[in-house]
Amino acid sequence: MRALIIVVMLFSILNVSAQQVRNFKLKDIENNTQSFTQLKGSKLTVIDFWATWCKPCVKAIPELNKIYEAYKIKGVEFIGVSCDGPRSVSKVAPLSKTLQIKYPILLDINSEIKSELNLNAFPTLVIVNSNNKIVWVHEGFVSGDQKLVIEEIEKLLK
Amino acid sequence: MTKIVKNSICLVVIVLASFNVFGQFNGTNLVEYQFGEAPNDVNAISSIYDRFVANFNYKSFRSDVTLEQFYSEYDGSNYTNISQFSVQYNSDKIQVKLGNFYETIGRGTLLHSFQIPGAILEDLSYRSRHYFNRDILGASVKFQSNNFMTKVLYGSPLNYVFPPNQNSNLRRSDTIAALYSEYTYKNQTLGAAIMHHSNSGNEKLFSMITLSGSISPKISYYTEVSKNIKNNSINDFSDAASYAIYSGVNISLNNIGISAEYKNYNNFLIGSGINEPPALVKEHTYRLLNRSTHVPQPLNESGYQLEAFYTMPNLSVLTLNHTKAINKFGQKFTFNEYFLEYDFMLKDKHDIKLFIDYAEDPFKLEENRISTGLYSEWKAGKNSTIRTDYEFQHFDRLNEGNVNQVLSVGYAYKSKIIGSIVAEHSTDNYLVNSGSKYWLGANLKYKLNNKHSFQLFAGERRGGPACNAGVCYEVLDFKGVELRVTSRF
Amino acid sequence: MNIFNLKSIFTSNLKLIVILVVILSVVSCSGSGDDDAEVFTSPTGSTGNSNMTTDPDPDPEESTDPEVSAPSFTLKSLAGVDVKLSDYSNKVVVLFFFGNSCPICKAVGPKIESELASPFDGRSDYQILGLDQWNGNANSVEAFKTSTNVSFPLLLNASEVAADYKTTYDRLVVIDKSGNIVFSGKQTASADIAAVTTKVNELLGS
Repeated sequence: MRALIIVVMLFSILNVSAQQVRNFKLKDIENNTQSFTQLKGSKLTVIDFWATWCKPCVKAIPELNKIYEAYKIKGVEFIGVSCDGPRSVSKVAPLSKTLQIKYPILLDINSEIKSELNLNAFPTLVIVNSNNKIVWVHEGFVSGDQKLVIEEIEKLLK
Repeated sequence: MTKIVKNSICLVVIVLASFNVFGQFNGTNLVEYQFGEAPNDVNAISSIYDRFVANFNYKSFRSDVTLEQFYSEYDGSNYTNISQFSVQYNSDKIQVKLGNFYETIGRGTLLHSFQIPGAILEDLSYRSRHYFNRDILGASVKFQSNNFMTKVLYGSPLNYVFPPNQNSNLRRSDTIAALYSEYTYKNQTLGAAIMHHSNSGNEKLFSMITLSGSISPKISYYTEVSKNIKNNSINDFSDAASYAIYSGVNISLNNIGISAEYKNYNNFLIGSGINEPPALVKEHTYRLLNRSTHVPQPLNESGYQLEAFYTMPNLSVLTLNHTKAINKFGQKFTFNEYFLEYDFMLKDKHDIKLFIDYAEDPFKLEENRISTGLYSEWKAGKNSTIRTDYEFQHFDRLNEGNVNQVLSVGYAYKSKIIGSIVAEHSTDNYLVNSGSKYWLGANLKYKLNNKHSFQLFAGERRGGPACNAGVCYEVLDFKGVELRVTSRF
Repeated sequence: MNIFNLKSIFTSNLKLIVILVVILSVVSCSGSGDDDAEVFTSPTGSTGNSNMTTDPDPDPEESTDPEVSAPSFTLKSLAGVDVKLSDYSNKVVVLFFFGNSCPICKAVGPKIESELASPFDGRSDYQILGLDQWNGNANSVEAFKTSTNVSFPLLLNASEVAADYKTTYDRLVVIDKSGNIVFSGKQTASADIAAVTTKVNELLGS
């Protein structure tokens, strides 16, 4: 028990090198296989891990759409990775289309990419630099968070 | 014997870690301290659960280790265990996994593995707490090109009811060997699988065929048919046969999206429950509806689910859902649910969600179940929001009326601090012999930075059935204090 | 990173090394309680019936069907009487562990009734019992009875008994006339009904 507490305390002061995103391949909602390398932005890539049953995720999408449209020309690409499992995956395409998501939506039915990156919450926004390194992680979405995302993108573009 | 294995794994971890100079090392840690009581407990006990996940990446290789520990006053429920260990190789075309891994075949009619991050399970019998997942211990190889994919897997799926301090042949009583291949041509995918399953000396052979794709950018479809082919002929779909048929179609017309799905399952519960045919029942985020969910029965269930989304020009969303599920167990039970939700912005800044739901669930003996609620997020300042949620439910069970209610008031400062008070009330006679039961609890979440967050709960929390990320399970009531610290590094 | 720069490697990884040493000590210092815990080994034919607290032997028995004496229990039935396992000595006893509102258990209920209860009606050397592992109140167990139409006795608050039997809900266990566990299901009850029926007939000599 004591050792356990020591371990926990040590983790809380730990800092290790940034994580890297591998060139994963997933199908998009139109059944085309897409790879991360094909979709990534020349400067930054924002990956949104979401699910149709997650209310804050759906709420974030129109805001992400706006940011995407504003920064697309500056070398920032967006990728939506739906982590819907077998239970809700059939709703990803109709919901994405009705929300008029402008960026590609990929299906990760096993949440494989999300678990590889040790992400635990929905939604999780991840910003990846041109070297495929994760430079920013943001969990959850409450109104006002869109400002944080813009600030971070601006900072990283400098 | 097992100790030698454990120590050698530790050695591997150390060696891998010392290779940190070449690759990268990352991980997460979740620790949860509880002081309180579960149902039927005489007095409060304290316990601590820790889950440490570390992974190491070097070029195309990756290794993962999960260390789980639980300590409480019950000696028999304590453990320190390396719950997962895996080595993975990834290249553009090939992926090899050894050890614990997750893999689902098709939509899960044959095999569904999953993990629910952040969920900790506790069982009334074993009184130990552990991570909620169903992984597979074995090996898998996957080959993927642009239009062809094939995977071979062998291993034993986990039965998560048993905690890590139980014998491994209780926890992993099933063994499967499966091959799945698919080919995509002009956006149409044809896939087929064959799976051998054994448990306690019983052997079975299953096959699956799937066809999916998009007909136009507006219409896509998915079909999956699985069968036990050991003892029945391939075209036998009688009452005695084991099969699962799932089919779905999606249609998108500008701002209207429709999903229609059909299911027909018979005698299709495999082993200790390693598969999970699609539920075709809406997973609600509203507390009472989430708890009232219909759990699909692969033993016998047929039905459909229709869902429609309509996004208005002002971005408010209307969702309509209708579900029908028929079970035949001696007698016929027909589950029906109608759900309507309207999500809109008030004065361009307050987010309001309104829902109403009507259901008939004879299998659960719940008739005329009416649920309704109002969830609101009021923008209170530049960075603050106030949340108020209310839900009400009434149903008849054996001619007796039962009421459930939830009221929650919360406050959020950016995503940094989120606090809420949740009060629940129920007259459900499964929970109280007469009269009412109340639960009152407070939650506080503080996000120190992107790496560390703290979550505190104090009070009493209602348990019961819960569905999370498409998987349903049973949660115990809890009364006491709970602190969870999550870190990533 | 220059891999030959040992000093910087050491400093940047110092914390990590410390932590790993701590982890190792935690793992290796753990008590005998986790000796039969699951580790990176594939399942074998060993049994799950050895009781962890009383049997410190790290190597589980290897036989597939050992003679294990069935743990005794006394539980209140839905009818309000105390039911003891010893009430059924010299009988073949089938235990059906269920959860009062567990959907798969409710689904299999009628089949348990038609294949493991009614065919043995009137036999004085056979008894089937249902045990509620979910510890529900009488109302919820009564509702289980109503929706499944089962006729055999249902016993309340059986979660600890399930732990004694190293089993869980939706499982079948068979006890022979001498009070030994001769079958302990490792899969859902529906998948084990046929095997249990065979076993019971064999034990009853019918």
